[in-house]
Amino acid sequence: MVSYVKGPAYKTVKSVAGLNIPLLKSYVPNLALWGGAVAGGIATFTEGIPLFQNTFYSKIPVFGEHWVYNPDPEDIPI
Amino acid sequence: MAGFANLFYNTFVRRNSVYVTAIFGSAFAFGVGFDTAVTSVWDKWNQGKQWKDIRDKYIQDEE
Repeated sequence: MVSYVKGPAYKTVKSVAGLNIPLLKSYVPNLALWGGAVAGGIATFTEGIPLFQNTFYSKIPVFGEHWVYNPDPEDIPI
Repeated sequence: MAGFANLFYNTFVRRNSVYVTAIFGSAFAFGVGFDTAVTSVWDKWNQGKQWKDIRDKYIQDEE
């Protein structure tokens, strides 16, 4: 005797405004890459600002020397 | 050539987030690289003429 079920057993995933956990998890890798893009954009547009140069860029290991500006005081024209 | 185009497309263009990251990353790197290259060419071209090269002739450091 085969036992039949009345219909498919549907399950609903809890969601808020159409967003649920598995869906949000699937966004994570792409959003992480967008985070990298934002960081790159900020780096590109703040590259010339002294505060950023002294705080971040001059501390980059190999080519951080590029942003170090340390002239002899008497060499700076007034 | 088609192989390179495919590789480029599959690596950088397929995902917009990767594409934008690559653009900003290469812009940042190019900015630094170009500045370094032009400064080095300028210094080589003007060797012996700039203040930093002739400073020793006029100023003796007290030590």
